[in-house]
Amino acid sequence: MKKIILLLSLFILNFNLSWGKLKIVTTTQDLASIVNFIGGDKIELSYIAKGYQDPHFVEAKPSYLLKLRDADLLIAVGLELEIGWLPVLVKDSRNPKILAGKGYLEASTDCEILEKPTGQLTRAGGDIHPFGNPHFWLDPNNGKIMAQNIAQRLSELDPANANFYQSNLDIFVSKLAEKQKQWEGLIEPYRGTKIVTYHNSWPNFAKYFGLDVIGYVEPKPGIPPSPSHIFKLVNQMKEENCKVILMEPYFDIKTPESIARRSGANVAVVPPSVGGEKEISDYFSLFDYAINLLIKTFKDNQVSQ
Amino acid sequence: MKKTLFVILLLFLAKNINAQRDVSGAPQQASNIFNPNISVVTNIVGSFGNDRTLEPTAFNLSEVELGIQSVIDPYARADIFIAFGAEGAELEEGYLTWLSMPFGLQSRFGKFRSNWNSFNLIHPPETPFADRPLAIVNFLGEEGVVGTGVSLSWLVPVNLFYLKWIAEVTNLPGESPSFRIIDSSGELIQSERKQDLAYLSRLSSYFDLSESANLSWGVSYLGAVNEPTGQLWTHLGGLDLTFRWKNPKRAIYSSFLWRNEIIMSKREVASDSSVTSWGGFSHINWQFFRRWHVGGRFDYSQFTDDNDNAEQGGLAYLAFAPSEFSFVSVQGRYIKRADKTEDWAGFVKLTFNIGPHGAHQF
Repeated sequence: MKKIILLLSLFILNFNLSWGKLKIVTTTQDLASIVNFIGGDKIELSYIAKGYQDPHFVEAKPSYLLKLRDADLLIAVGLELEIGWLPVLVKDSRNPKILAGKGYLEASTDCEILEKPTGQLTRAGGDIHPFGNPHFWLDPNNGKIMAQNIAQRLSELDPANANFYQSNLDIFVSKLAEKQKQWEGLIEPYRGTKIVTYHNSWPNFAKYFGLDVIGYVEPKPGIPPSPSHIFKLVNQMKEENCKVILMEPYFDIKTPESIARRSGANVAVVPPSVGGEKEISDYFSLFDYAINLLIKTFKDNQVSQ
Repeated sequence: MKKTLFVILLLFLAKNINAQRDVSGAPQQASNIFNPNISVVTNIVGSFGNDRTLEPTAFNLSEVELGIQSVIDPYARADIFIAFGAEGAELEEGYLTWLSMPFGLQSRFGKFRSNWNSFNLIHPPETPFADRPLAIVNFLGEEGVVGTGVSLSWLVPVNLFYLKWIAEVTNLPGESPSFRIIDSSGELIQSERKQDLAYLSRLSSYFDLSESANLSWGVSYLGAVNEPTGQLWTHLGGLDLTFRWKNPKRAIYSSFLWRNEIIMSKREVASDSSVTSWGGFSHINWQFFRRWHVGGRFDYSQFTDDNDNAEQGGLAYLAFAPSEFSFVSVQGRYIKRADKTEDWAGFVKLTFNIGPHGAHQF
C-alpha cells in the first residue's frame, strides 16, 4: 500500500521520465516543428498555439503555466505576435529561466522583417505591429535563419550535444535548400499573379514566391470589412483581373466567398502554420500544402502568366 | 573692493555655467525604451430610472484609470493604477511583484486588489457591468476588497492540473461593510489598531474539459476584526466556479462564459452571538458575433449584519465592441430591495482604453 501511495505521489507531483533533457516550449507549432528537427530526442518539446489557431488570439489558459514553469527555454515568434497572451503567462510562470536571459529566444532575430512602420503610429491603423509584420516564418529563407538561431541557443544551453544540434541543422538547411528549388520551380509559371489576402499574413510568402498582393479583405489589420470596403475591393479585383483570395482557416469564409462570387475569383483556404491541416505535419509540408493548393486554385481559375 | 568682488562673482558664475555644460554633456539615456508602459482606461456611464442608488446626474465620467507598469529589474515588476473619479484621484493599486522565488512562490507587496474569489480582481471599468453585483457591494464594498500588505502565491507542483494557493495579510479593507460597524452617531467606523489585520487564503484550480471548454474554481477565506476594539471578527468564505467555452478555430467569433460566486459571512456581533448570512451572483456572457455580446446576471444578497432581509434582482446587457480597445453597452437592471420596494434602472456604458496592447488576463 505504501508503495502504491509513493508511486501515485510521484506521478501526481513533478515526477518526470525525461529528466535531464532540455525542456523547450514554443509559442507556435511552426517553431515546434523546427525545434523538433534540430533537437530530436535530446529535448522534451511542447508548444502552446496549435496551427489552426489565430496566433494573435490565444487564451492565456492556466494549464499553459504547467508547461512554462519547468521550461529551460521558451521560444517565441516575437514582434508582438503573442503580445495579447504570452506576457501574462510568462509573468505567472515563476520560472526565472524564461523571464530573462538565455532561456528566452525570439525566433525573429536576424530574420528579414517586412513592413516595419515608419513615422507616427496610432491605433487608427488597426491592430498594427510596431516592430514589423510578424508572419516572417512564411519565407523559407527566414526558416533557415530561425533554425540557425535555435541550433545556436540549444548548443549554448546544452553544449554536450552541440555537435548533434549542428548536424541536424546542417540536414535541415540542406533539405530546405532542396525543397526551395522544388517550390520555386512549381510556382515559377505563376510569378506576378495578383492575389487578395484576408489578413496581412502573407507578405513574406508573397515576396519570396513572387505573388502580387493587391488588397486585403480586412480594411486594416484586425478590423472586419465594411460594405464599402468590400465594394471597392470587388471593383479593384475586377479591374486588375485578380482571381484568387488567399485566406487563413480561422476567419469566417462567408465574406471572402461573397467577394469571390462578385469578382469571379476563387477562395484558397491555406493555413499559415504547421498543424493547420492534417497533411501539414512539419515546416516543409507547410509550404508543400500552400503551394500545391495555390497552384490548384490558379489552374481552376485559369490563371496563367 | 567692489570691482574685485564683482570679478570673483563673474568667475564663480562662469565656472558654474561650465559645470552645468559638463553635466548636460554627460552620458544620457538615449531613448525612452525603459520608460514604463502607460495606459488609460476610461469608463463613462449614463443612468436613468427610479433606482435610489443611481448617481444624481444622468451622465457620469465614472472613472479614468491610469495604469503605469514596468519591469523593475530581472527579479521584479511594478504595477501602479491611479483612479480619477468624481471624488478626485485615488491610488487604486500600487505594488511590486517578485516574479520568481524558490519553490514556485511569487509575492506581491503594496496596495492591491485581494485575491478574493475571481470577480474581485477585475477593475470596475473592465467588467461588462455598469454596476457591481449586490453581494459584492453588500459584503465587500462598492470597489471590492483592496488591501495594503503582502501576498504570497504558490503554484503547487502538480503535473496533472493547475493548482494555486494564495495567502495575504493586509491592513483592514477600508471600504468593506463586513469589517466596519455603525457607531452611535451613525458613522461607519473600523479598527485603527495596527495589529488588526485582514487574513486571506485562497485555493484555486483549473481544468481543460476539452480543447474548447474549461472549468476554473476556487475557495477563498477572508477574516478580520469588525469593530474598533478588535474583539469581534467577521469570517467570509467564498466559492467561485467559472465555465468558459471558445472554439480555438474560431476564437474571434464566439465565446461563452458562465461565472458563479457565493459569499458566506459569519459576523460576530457579541462575544457569544453572531450573524450568518450569504449572497451570490451568476453571470452569463455570450459572444454571438465577432463584435457583439449579450449577457445577464442574477443577484441575491443578504447583509453582513442582517440575515432576515435580502435583496435580489438581475441585470441584462447588449454590448458592441468595435475593437479590442473599446466597447459600448446598453443595460437594464431590476432590484427588489429588502424593504420590498422595486428599483428599475437603465444604463449606457462606454469603456475605452489607450496605450500599449496589454495582455488579456484569463
